[in-house]
Amino acid sequence: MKTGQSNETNMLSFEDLQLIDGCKRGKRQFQNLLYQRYFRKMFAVCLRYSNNQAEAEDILQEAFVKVFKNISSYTGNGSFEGWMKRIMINTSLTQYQKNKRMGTSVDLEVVEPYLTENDEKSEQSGRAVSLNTDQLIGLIQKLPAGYKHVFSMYALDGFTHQEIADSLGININTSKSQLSKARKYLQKEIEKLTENTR
Amino acid sequence: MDHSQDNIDQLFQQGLDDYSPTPSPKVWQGVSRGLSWTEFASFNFTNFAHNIYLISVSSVALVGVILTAFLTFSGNPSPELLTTEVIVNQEIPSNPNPVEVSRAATSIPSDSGITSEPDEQANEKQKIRLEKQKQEQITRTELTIMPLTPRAAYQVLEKDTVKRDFWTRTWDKIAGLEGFYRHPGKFSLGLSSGIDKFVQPMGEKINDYTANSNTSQLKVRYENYGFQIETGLMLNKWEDDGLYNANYRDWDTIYSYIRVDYFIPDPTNPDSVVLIKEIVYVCDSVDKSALISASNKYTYLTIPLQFGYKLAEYGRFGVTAWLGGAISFESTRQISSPALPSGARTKVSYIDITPERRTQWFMYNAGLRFDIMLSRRIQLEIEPYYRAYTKPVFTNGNLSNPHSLGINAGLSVKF
Repeated sequence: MKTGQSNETNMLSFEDLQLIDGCKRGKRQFQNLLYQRYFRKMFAVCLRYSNNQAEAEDILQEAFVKVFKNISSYTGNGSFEGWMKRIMINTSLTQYQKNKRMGTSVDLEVVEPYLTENDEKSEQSGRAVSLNTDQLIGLIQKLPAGYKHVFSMYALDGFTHQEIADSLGININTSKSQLSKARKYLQKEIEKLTENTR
Repeated sequence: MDHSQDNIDQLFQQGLDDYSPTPSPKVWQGVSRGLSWTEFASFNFTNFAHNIYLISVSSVALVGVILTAFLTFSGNPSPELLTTEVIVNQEIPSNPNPVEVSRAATSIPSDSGITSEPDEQANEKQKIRLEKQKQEQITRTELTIMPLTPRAAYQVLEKDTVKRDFWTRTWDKIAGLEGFYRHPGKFSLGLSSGIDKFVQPMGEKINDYTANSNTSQLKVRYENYGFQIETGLMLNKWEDDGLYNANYRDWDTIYSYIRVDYFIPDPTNPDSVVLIKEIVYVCDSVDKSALISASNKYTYLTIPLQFGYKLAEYGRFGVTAWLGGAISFESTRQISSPALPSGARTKVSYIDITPERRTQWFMYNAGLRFDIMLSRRIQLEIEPYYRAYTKPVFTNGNLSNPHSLGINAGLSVKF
């Protein structure tokens, strides 16, 4: 992961160390405190990789169980928050693959024709816009799964294209092209939103 | 990457930087359930103590089910098989015709001078009786011998009866059906110990407070016609985390700067110099706070009073259902001092945020007792139970009442 974008520090606070230690001993009280400390941040991550709130909550629940189950493997090297975030993302991707196999999730390459229309116009729109967080999350959730994952991983979670390609099992060029398409798609959607609000 | 694409990334990065939505409280409940199941499913000796109550209750329930099934489906040994065994071992009398002997004994010459009329009548009666006996003998012999040819009898003995009999006899020995009888004493004195899993619901937003405690019990019981009354003394030992907000002072870097110690002429460029510099970190004592814990120990003295009825008894085994109440007092409390990890920290203050525990409780109990007589007087007892408390464990807050599940095992002696 790129280090510049996430302002995470490798230094764990004393409180974090205490909580991790309690969780390693299997103390439910400490697990609850750790959950209370991070659940909002992690839920924000899960929301970006899911289609709706209910799915994000399922992912959050499953991922936190994994966190507590595997917390003894966290050695203290690297950011704890980053380690948890990685578990959230991996769980989201696993959930997506599972849903895909069961046919509940569709890979929406159907947006391709949509993107080819007025590409020039959309690329020129670099003006400042103001959207609230719910709208931004809504836009990400509306993205087709492939675009959503690549965009979130690259633009928001600081993964490199190589890491994205490895995680998603795709070619590095596919990752780049999907990122580009995701940006165009988002631009169009933002334009639509801003036009509607005028 | 063009400028507009950069803008898109920035728009989302900045817009979602402090985004912290709140999920449903049910998520933590799901996490907690998932962890409980994971802990139970991944049993090993390191988490044995943690899961002991679940394992114990499961084991007792399993034993109970097996025992009940066994008692239900295994009655007395099959009467057909017993009959077969008797028939096979029955010896046919060596003299199958006693009639001839009787006749010889009662045959008196007609010229003996004794009137023959009563004799004849007696003889006639005797004859009829002997004929009847002979008939019965023949009938019995036919009945017994007819169904079993020697080969069939051998097969039954070897392949069925002997095998079944072995298990039946073994069970009879285990169950105490062969010559075992209980001591008739109505009083018993017992000692037992066990584990209790306590659950205090903390409301929707916070996970339930749970604690394992060890119990030791001395009990006295009176039993008559299957009804029982029991009391005693019980010690409940809890180990719990005390929570503290620690405010302390610690050394930390407050800023850093680059100090130029000296410079030398640059050998490659006569117009410039090379700076010999060093990064200097400036530290100062900084006030910090942290949540820390310490292990506290509590002991409760409990006096139960419970009533029971023996539901089933089979040889050495018995099952009793019981219910009752108990009153509990806190007898000792050991509060450990919280400690910051070693280092250059200076303790400033601790604020104890451990919720205050109740010192007196009343509770209702119900459970089952599975007992096995090891000898005439000594009985092994295993008791799974449920306990409902009438007040929450913590005195502050509007909490619902807690409950616990537990299991005790011990010995009792009849007097």
